[in-house]
Parts: sequence; structure tokens; C-alpha cells
Amino acid sequence: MKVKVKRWHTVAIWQWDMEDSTDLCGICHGPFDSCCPDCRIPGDNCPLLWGKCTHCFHLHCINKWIETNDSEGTCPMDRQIFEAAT
Amino acid sequence: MSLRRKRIDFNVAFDEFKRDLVKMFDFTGTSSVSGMGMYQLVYDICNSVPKPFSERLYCAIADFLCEYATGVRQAILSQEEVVPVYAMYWKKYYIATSYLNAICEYLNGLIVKQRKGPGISEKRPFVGQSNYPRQDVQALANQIWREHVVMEIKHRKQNRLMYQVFETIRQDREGQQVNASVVQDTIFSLVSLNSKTDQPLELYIDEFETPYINQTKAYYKAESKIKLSNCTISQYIKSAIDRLAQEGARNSRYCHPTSHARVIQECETQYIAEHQKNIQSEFEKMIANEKADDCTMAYSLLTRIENGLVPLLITFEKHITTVGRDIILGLGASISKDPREYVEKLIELHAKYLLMCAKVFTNDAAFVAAVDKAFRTIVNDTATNVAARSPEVMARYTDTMLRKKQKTGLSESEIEDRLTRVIILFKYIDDKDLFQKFYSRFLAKRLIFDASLSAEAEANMISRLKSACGVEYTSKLQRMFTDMTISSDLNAGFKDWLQSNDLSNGLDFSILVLTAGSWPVNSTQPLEFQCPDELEKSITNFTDFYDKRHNGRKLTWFWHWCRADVRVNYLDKRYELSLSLYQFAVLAVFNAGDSYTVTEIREQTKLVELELIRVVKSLVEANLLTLPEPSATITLSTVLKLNMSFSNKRTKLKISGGLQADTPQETTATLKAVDEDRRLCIQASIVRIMKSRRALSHMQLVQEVIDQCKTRFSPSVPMIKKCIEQLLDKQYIERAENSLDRYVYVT
Repeated sequence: MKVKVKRWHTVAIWQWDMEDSTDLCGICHGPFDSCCPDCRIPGDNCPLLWGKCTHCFHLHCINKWIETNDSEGTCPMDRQIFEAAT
Repeated sequence: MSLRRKRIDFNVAFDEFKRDLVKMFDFTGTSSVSGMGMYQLVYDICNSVPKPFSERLYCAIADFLCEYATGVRQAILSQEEVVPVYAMYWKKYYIATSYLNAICEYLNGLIVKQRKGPGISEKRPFVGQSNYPRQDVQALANQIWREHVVMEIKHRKQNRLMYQVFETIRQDREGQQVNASVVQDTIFSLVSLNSKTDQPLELYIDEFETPYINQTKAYYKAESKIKLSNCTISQYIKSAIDRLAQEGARNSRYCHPTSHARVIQECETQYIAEHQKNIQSEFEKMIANEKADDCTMAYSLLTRIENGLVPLLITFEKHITTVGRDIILGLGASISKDPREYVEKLIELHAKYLLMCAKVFTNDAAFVAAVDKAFRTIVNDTATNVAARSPEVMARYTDTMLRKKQKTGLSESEIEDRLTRVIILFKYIDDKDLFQKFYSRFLAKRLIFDASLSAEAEANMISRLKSACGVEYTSKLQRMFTDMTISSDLNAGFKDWLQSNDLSNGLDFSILVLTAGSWPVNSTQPLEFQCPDELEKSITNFTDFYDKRHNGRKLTWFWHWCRADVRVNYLDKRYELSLSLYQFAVLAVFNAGDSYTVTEIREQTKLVELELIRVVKSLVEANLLTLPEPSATITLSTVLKLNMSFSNKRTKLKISGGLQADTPQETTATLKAVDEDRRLCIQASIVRIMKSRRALSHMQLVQEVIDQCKTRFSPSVPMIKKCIEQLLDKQYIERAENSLDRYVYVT
């Protein structure tokens, strides 16, 4: 080997594993890449949640919505009963 | 003292009383006058049986005083200079009458009480057969002096007394020695004379103040005109200030406190207000020639009159703006290469004018505001010099300061000082969002390439920005620091994991994992690249480790920001090179042979042509690879050879890849990103406003949006219009029925 690596430094970027993580959360209108409005730092403390209806939200956003009386437990996008995909 | 009532012969009794009166008023033989005796006499006369003589006594005293005052008047008028004589007699009269008043206390009681009795004042408003109103003896004495001395001289002798008073004051103004105390006594006698009446200052105002102010006006009107035509403005201002100071002193010498402001105001009107235009127009030259003393004087003069400073403020602001623009213009295109001169010269200019505000204009808030206004214009002026885009230039400046190994040769405290001062200019930027975008990009590069001067300096700068613009402004910047901390934990965790799984391969690997939403990375789709085989293992290992640690995340490698430190074995010395990963990948191709075409290298590295040629070029420039002919253009068919005779004095080398430099494309992308952010910000603000206001006219809405956004940037009206249209399309809002320029919120 003429050239041998001793040390290397890499840079990577993480996103949520989804088709387009620059999409916006249907509830807070913030990008999925960013956290929900109540959190400061994106990461495991502010995860995403997919419904069986295939719609995705910040976990905190959908929780807050479901807790309101108006929601009647439905997905805000299609008005079907919201169930988390497993 | 005896209170027993006696039978009294008035004439005999009053003769006795009068003998003592004469002594008192002449100030001769006063030692033989007994106050107590006179007091008893007054009591006896007022209580004589069968008939009391109180009113008769009162009238007799009045007659005595009239006679005395007439004598005094003649004595005064017999002199050429009446003022000193008047003052002398007045003093005596004043003292004698106050004693007399005390002696006649009992009489006063009777006379004045009757006035207060029910109905008496209407039936008998005067004492006895006289035409003296019911008042105490002191007031009576004042009235008599007023009528027999002051008014007589005024009406019969061409007001000789007051004429001489004014004449003396004129001489005083001319700078001649005068006997001020007699003038003062004379003037103040006018106040004392009316002190017992309903209008205590009437006599003083009529006889002295009003004519005095008129004369002051005439005097200074004439003088200021002459001065203005004979002197320079600077001299004129100086004499105005002197004159005003003198008048202040003269005021306290001659005038009652109630007149001070009125007299000074007249002087100010004549000396300043009437000629303010001359001073104001000269101010421009004073500022330009930095005549601090003249400026101070002009300021202290014009600050006395209403709106006098307004033209100075305009001139001051205009001057600063011009000087600032000249600096910007003079720097030309050099600003884009080196931001230091722009920032430092403007900071210097700012400090200079703030100092001027403090030294010359007593830190007058209006002048400080003028500096602010001028700098807002200068800093946001892009018309004078297109290179002077302040948000970008200032962000670049902070970057030069916060980089390690800079060429500035400044100490850390000097750098801190400069960064503190750059905030002064930063505050004037209208488009603070633009600064933030550039700053975050420069910060990202400093962090990614480990080029930061120190963590402390970075944190200090963030807290400065935070205190200037609020937490929200820096929260995104702060997230980058969070990622740095998380990454160092991650590296430690990964090392442990490798060891416990027996996967260590002797390669020192480190990683920086960025959160996509927190870093200003323009594309999340990096260029195509084939990672060299020997490194591939580390990547897979880390991906495994990361997937176990975090759920539902996807890593994208930013190859163009990766670096490799390598040892070179084919040369005479064992060089250690620090390379970009791309450079290493190209060199690694030569592990298998000594010469390759660019196309062959591309097949192995999968780098796109443009990027590959750039990398190859950097290696040729570093003399690691050689071209068939020097300075040949590199194309896909160019044959490259490893330079086997490479040599360098040092064994540790960093090969520049030109990666850290800012490309124009990046700048354009940044500007585009800012535009997009603004659109979102405006839309959010429209929705917020409409949600709370329900219905608004177009004009009102636009105004409120501008107000909400202006701390970050000044939104353009066309952009707001566009955002309104987009929200109409998305049906967040709709047009009100019957009205074209009104919107309502859709719930």
C-alpha cells in the first residue's frame, strides 16, 4: 500500500427514515426534520408517529390533538379514527 | 403701660407725638425717642374720653407723611443724579415707617377692624373725612410715597428717576463702572411699595419690568445686528454666550425673580432666535472641520430656543451619512475579499461620533438618535457600493475573527473586543435574518472543519447575538452546538461498542452526526461517490451501531466534508498528509499502479467529472500527481502519474482542497433560502394576525405584517401581497363579500 489511512473523520446527517423528511407535519406545519413547537431539539425526545392511515405527525402534535374534545380520536387529515401503525 | 382711659387734648398730644416722629424720620436724636412712650400715646389718643381720636390721629399721621414725602421729593429733584438720593431716602423712609407701623399697632387694629366689620366698608370705606382706604399705617405710608414721590416724578419730571435707572443699566451693559446697589434699591422699592396691596408686583411690572424688557429687546436687536456683520459666526456665538451669562448675573442684580426668565427669553430671541439661520447654516462647516468648541457653543446656544436644534440634527445626521458613504464607496470591491476594513472603519466612525455626542452635545438623546439614524442608513445602503451587503459582510467578519490560525495576529482579548463592537453595527442591520443565515453557514463550516478559535469565543458571540435579538434568533445556532456534544458522546460510545464486539480494525474513526433540520445544508442529496474499500467497513459498523442506538433514523454521508489523515510509503521520507476524502480516494487509486487516466479514476471513485477534475487539480498543484506536460488542461483523457520524487521540508502536510472557500453558488443558495424563510414567516404572521383580528382591510394587514416582521427583516410589499394570494388560494383567508380590499379569516 502506497498510501495508508491512519485516521479519518466523517460527517453524516440524520433524518427520520421516511420518503421526504423535509415534508411538514400536518398539525404544526413545521418540518419533520425539526421538532414540534414545544420541543427545542429534534431527536428521540420528539419522535414521529405514523397512523394506520399512513399519515405521519410529530408524536407530541398528534397526542395534543387527540386529547382535544373536537378531535373525537380522528386523524386530522382524513377524519378516520387514528390508530398508530405498529 | 397704663390701660386707663384719660381725657386728652388732641393737639397737645399729637404735637408731642409729632416731635418724636420728626426725629425718627430725620434719624436725628433717635436715642431720646421712646418707642414705648409713643405706643402709650397712640393708645391714650385712641382711648380718650369722652371721644376717642383714633381716626383723627390716623389722618394726622397721613398729613405728616405727605408733608415729609413732598420734602423728600424736592430734595431728590434738587440733585443731578437722583437715583442715589432716592435710594438713600427710601431706605430711611422704609425703616422709619416700619417702626411707625409697630408703634401704631393699636391704631391699626382699630382702623382695619372697622373695615372688616359688617357693612362698614360699604358705608365708610375711607378713614374720617380723608380719602385713605382702611389699611394699616405701613400701607398708608407706601401709598403716600407712591403718590408723592414715584408718581410725581414720573408725571411731572419726565420720569427722571426711572430714566436714570435705565441709563445706569445701559452703562452697566456697556461695561462701565456703575453703582449697582442704589439702582437695585430703587428697583426693589417698587416691589416693597406694593407689597401690602392686592397686586404686589403691579407697580414693579408697570414702572420697571415692561419698559426694561422693551429696552433689552432694542439694545440686543441693535447689538446682534452689528456683531453679525462685523464678526465671524464663531465670534458671534461666543459673544452671545457671554451676553447671556452677563444678563443672567444682571438679572439677579436688578430684577425680581419673576422677571428673570422673561428678560433672558428676550435676549435669546434677539441674539439667537432672530439669527438662528446664520448659526445653523454655519454648523455644517463646523462639523465638517471638526471645530468641537464652536459646535459646543452653537449647541448650547440653540438648545435654549424652541426647535433651534432641529436643523443641527439634520445637518449632523447628513454629515455622518455622507462620511460613512464615502468610506463605503472608497473601499470598492475589496469589501467582498476582506470584510475587515469595512467593519472596522465603520465601527471607528461610530465611536468617533458617539464620543462627539458625549463631549460636544452633552449626550443629548436627540444627537445620539441622529447618529443611530445615520448609521442605519449607512449600514443598510447597498446602492452606493454593491459589495457592501452588510449582513453578509458582517457575518464574514465574525467568521474571520472566530477562525483559528488567522493571519490577523490579534490576541484573544483583542478579538473578543472586536466581536463585542461589531454588535454595535449589527444592531443597525435591517435584514437581521440574512445575517443569521450567513452566520449559521459560517459557523457550520467552522464546526464541521474544526476551524473554530475556541468554544468559549463561539459561546460568547452567541450570547451577544442572543442579548441583541432574543433567544429565538440564536436557538437554531445553538442546536449545532448540541449536535457537537452529542457527536462526541457518540464517538466514545462507538469505540466501546467496537471493542466489546471485537470489531476494531486499527483505523482511527470519528464522526459528526448532524441533525438535518438544524444545519444550514443546502442539499441533502450529496454527490455520488464510491467510498474506498478499506473504509467501507467502518461505515457499515457505524451504521449498525447507530441503528441500534436510535430508532427510525436514516444516515446520509456527506463525503465532501469527510477528511482522511494518511501515511505515504512510496517516497524517501514518511510523509503524513491530511487530505479531503475525495483527494484520498483519488490517491488510493494509485495504490494499484503508477499512472491512470482521469476516466479510469472516475470509474473507481464514481466522482462526477466536475468535482473529480477539481480534486485532481488540487493534487497536481500540491505536486503529488504530475501531468504529462506542465500546465496542460485536465480533461477526461489526461494521463496522471504519481510523483515519485515529491519532496517537502516538512513531513506533516495539509493539502488544501479549496473546499472551505465559499462559492458564489452557495451565496445564491443562501439568499434563496432566506427568501423562502421570509415567505414562511410572512405567511405565519398573516395567519396569526387574521386569526386574532378576524377581518382587516388590505392596508391594515400589510402594515401589521410589516410591524411584526421588522425586528428580523423589512418585508417588501410585493412579497406580502404574494403571500396573501397564496393564503387565499389555500383558503386560510378569503375576500370579504362586497369589498375587494378586505379579508376575513376562515375558521
